[in-house]
Amino acid sequence: MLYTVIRKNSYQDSINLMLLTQNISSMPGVKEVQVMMGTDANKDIFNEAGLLTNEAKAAEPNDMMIVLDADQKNVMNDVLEQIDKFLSDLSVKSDDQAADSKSVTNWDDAMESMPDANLAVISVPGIYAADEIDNALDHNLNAFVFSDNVSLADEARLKQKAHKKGLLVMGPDCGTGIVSNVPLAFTNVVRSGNIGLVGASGTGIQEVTSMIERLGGGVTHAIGTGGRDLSDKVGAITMEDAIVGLAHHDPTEVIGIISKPPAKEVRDDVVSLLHSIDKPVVAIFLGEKPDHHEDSVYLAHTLEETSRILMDLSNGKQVKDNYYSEVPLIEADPQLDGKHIIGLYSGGTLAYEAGMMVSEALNLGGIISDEGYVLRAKGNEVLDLGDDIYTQGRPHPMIDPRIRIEKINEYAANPDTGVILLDDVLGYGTDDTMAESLADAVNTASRKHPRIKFIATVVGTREDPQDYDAARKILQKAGIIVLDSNAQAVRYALNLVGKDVNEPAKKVVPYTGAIREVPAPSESILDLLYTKPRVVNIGVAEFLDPVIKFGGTGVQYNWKPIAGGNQKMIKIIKKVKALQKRNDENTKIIDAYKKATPFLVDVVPAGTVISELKGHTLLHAGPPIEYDEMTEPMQDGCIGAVLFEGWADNEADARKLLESGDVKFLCNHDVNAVGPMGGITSAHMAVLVIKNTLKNNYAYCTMNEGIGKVLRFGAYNDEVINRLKWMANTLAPTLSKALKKLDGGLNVNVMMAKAITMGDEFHQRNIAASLVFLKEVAPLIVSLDIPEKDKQDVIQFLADTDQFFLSIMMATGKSVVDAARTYKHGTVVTTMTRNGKDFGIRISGLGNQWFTAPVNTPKGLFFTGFTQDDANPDIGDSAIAETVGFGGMAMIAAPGVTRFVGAGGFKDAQRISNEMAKITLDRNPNFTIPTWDYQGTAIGIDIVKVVETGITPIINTGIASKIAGVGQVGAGTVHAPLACFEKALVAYADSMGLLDNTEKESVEKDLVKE
Amino acid sequence: MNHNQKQVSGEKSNMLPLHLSNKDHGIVSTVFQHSFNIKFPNLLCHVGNISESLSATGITIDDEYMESLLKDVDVGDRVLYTKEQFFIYTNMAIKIISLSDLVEIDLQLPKITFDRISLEQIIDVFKVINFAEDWGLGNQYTPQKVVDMIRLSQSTAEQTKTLNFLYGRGRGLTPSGDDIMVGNLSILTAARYPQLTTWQNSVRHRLQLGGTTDVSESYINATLEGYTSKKMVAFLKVLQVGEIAQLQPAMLAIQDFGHTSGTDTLLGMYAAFTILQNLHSNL
Repeated sequence: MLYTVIRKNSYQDSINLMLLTQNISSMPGVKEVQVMMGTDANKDIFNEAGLLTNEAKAAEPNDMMIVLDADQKNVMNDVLEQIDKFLSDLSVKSDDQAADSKSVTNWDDAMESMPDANLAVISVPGIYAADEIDNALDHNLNAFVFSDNVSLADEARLKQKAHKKGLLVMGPDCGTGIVSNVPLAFTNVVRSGNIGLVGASGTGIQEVTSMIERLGGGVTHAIGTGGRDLSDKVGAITMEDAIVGLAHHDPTEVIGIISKPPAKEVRDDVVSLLHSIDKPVVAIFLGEKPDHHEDSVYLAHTLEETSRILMDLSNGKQVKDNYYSEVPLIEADPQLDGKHIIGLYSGGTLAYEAGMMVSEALNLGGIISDEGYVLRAKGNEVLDLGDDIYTQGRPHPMIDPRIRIEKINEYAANPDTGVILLDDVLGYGTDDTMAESLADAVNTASRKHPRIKFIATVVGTREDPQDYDAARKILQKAGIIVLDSNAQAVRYALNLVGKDVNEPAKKVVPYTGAIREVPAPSESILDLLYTKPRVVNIGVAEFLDPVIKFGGTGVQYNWKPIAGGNQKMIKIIKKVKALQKRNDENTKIIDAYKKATPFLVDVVPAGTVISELKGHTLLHAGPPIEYDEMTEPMQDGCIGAVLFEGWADNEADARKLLESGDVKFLCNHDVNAVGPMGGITSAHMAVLVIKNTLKNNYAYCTMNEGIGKVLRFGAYNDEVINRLKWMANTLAPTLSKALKKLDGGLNVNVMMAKAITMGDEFHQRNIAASLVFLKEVAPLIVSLDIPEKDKQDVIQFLADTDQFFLSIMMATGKSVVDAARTYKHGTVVTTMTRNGKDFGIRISGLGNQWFTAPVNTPKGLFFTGFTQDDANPDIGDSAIAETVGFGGMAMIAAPGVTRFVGAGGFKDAQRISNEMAKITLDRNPNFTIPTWDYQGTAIGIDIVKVVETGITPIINTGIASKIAGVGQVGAGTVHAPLACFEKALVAYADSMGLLDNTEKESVEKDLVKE
Repeated sequence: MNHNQKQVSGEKSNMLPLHLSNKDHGIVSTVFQHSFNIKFPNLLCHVGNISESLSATGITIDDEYMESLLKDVDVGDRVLYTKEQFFIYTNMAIKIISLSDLVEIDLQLPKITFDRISLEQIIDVFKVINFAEDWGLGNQYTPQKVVDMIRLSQSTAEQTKTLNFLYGRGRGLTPSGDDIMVGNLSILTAARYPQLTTWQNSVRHRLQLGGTTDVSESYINATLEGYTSKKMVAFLKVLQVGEIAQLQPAMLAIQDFGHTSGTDTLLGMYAAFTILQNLHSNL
């Protein structure tokens, strides 16, 4: 029975998930389990494994798919618990590392953190790797690309781009590299030396560098090129640039080249370059059997021969004619006569070398590449268990021994098997206990099949994280014959079955081909070769550890796919980001936010300033909505407004009127107004009047009624109506008169600047601002020529209403965005609001156009007796606070609020605000926050950043009961839905002529589906 | 572009180019608390910090870089000299010392005469040194006996006998007998002593027989080639200029080298001055 859990927006890199899958696979009751991100490629793997459930089919690239095959459903609970434990261990480790090294989540921060970076180490999923290589090159960084599955066309394009910029792209699919003695990815620890390597082969580099280290030499640079660099399409761009670099790297005296046989033209070109430099070279084109050397280019047949010639040259010794012992390494074992040699390798190049040697010795027709087989002839088989066919959806055999153990058992049971060859590759990135695992498997197999000989080679050095000598001993203890090199191991195997290698002596002959002028290397490449790497590590965090340990510096880029991995959206983002004027346009909007000068100038009946409030017209919060679509709190607010205006005498008539369609509804935002929660505003309700003198525009908002039964939450009993009447007839005129005593009104910026330093964020907490306001108006009220009782009542009401300032802030926010909205360009969010059904946004470049998506329901803390089930979906115009940088965006300003809204402690508030700053364009210096090191509020939400990061604005909000008349039941936070930002981005791109019809239709279809 | 990780400041002896060839390979032979030696085919190069005296076969570099080098440099590390740079292949990294960054100091033994400061005056100054207490050959012999032995070694046979006594005698990287020999030879060379060649030949002959340390051998060779330490050059220049007031400080500066090496060198110098005094009194 298959059980599925989809964890939305829970990105983890593939290596972590493969390790996790390995970790949970052996849990009791688990028949099969797979954890992967919801990419199409991963779904194919699930499908092939018979694990693609309907829920998994619907997963998005940023969702974690967990599919379990088990007889008991409760096994899933255990699995989920273990997954949480595993991932939380990772996060704890990550936090610990963060204390020592920096970590960022985007390129801008990475480059700000490490402006002198010279190398990007990229280990993101292949589908995103090309983009990140592009980004690295655009930031003038060399790239070491561990990621695979980059198209050959992309590889060629990126390498050409790198070459033009004087940069190196090592990879893609580059598993091994050493730069200035810093091991990158899966690499052995080797001392520095006068040997430099360039290799298109991971384990080839590992075998040669390890042997050199063990022979007493040293390698300072081993530059991996990726396996396809010498293809005719790529033309050895990286290899040649690396050779040129090493030719000019003075401490490198000898150069080694490791590759499978390249295309002929490419080979000729590379060889010509090798003959043109003034340093001796040892080249191995694995698979070719050279019978001579050419001048100072020495041609090797095996990786061991390569190492030994390099060592002689490194020590200034003469190169010998032959590096192979004349006599066999062991006498033939009669029991193995006619038996087969089997190679079970984790290292691809080691498998290739074994296949080549066995094929040559037994005349088997050469190596092949067929479903993981390197050799499959006359019963002799050599497998590369690191081939894609064995590693899709499971860890590489250097990390996970299971596939090797399976194959050992399988081949050992075959009576024709004589010898099984194994490798144990040590170094960074590989399993720490592989020797033990192999020894256990061999012990088991040997007990059943004692005739079979196991021969192994250990690729590694004594400085590797694993102990080279201990690994050998463990293998030997299990009866495995351990040789010093793969070539020796293969020869030993051949000797046992009565065969041997044929390695004739090689003489040096003159080179007669072309030579050419060696270009000067770029400054960037020389810098890479002469200094310790300064790394931006994008992806697998563990790759940064050896960089730091071996003297490099680095910043961890905790990468996630942009736009949730949505390829269509990624393309649109790229196009929009390429728009030259957009940044300047956005700056103008931001400037309007920063330069806003709002004044509270009056409090008046809404109908006197909002001309649209004629007849039976009501205003509501959020984007446009009809009465029958409204949730209960808003509908009930309408009933209250009808009763307040006297359009009906009772609830039933009021409802009847509203349902009749005779009441016209407009959204506040369309008439320069905003309203809290339901936002229901009628002509005779009092509204605060804010004048923004930047553009001399006005904005309005109904006053805060206090807490408890209030219209904004949908209450409409007599107490509510009477309060509204008092507010219209007493409070409003009193405040109006008081404000008129001030020339130009009350400066709101000044009050807010004070209050934000006193712990207000102006959405969920306004107590400081409300008191500052009271401090300003109380003397004015006292001086008025009105009845003392009115003065008393008004001042008491203001003193009792902690959130009174909320409405002042809302009208202020509206006046700020409306002034900015007069400039109709750019991608800045100018409105965010909710009507209980939809969340709606507007952006600067598209005027009054709404982009909506279904609202989320806030989560937080509830008053006694209420729970999350009572919560109404998100509602109200108060998100104007977040639109201009307050509320959830400034959570850190009000640590007192964070617990109330359920967001946790101070560090959570800081984390939230820091995260919000990632989707904004600037800071507002008018409102500096002491707890944020006096940084200004984060302003200018950019839809591009939102869609790119998948981070949506967080709104601090009160929570209304979904049941009519109950009112507020709690407070909490809610995220704006991503879809409205995506829709806005698509519309913006379309408006800028960036989409053709097909693209537009395709992406809009996806958005509708969402 | 200078690709060195660090711009180094310091000094280098002008003798180095005579013994270092491009692409010479060396090996770190000894590492001390504040310095180390690199053994090249034709030179044992001393790498010291700038507060030490520059030796004829060495360089000095600033303390900060020296400290960073000493963290990584180990005995056995290979070294390449190419394009006026030392590349030291340590476990963790290639450490680079760019000789072109260093100021070259002329450490050839300057020619001295005794027109301005007489030999008697010089010898008087040496009398402030308590050789018996500070030298390195202990109580078995007296310093005066050694001085007399040198002074009276006129023939090749006598010189050979004296050298056999001195060569490699004493402890440390530069045995006291060698230091005495170097001090003596340095002054005789600077004064253009008529029988210098005889002494030099005797020393060369003794060198071939071996029996002392690499470091000492290196200093003796440098002296035979007419090079010395920066402090010795400073002392001899005082004699050249005739600044008698500076004579004692310059002499004491030499004494402040090593455990007993400075005093031993001064004893050899003193012996040479007595030889020269005899010569002058016999003229």
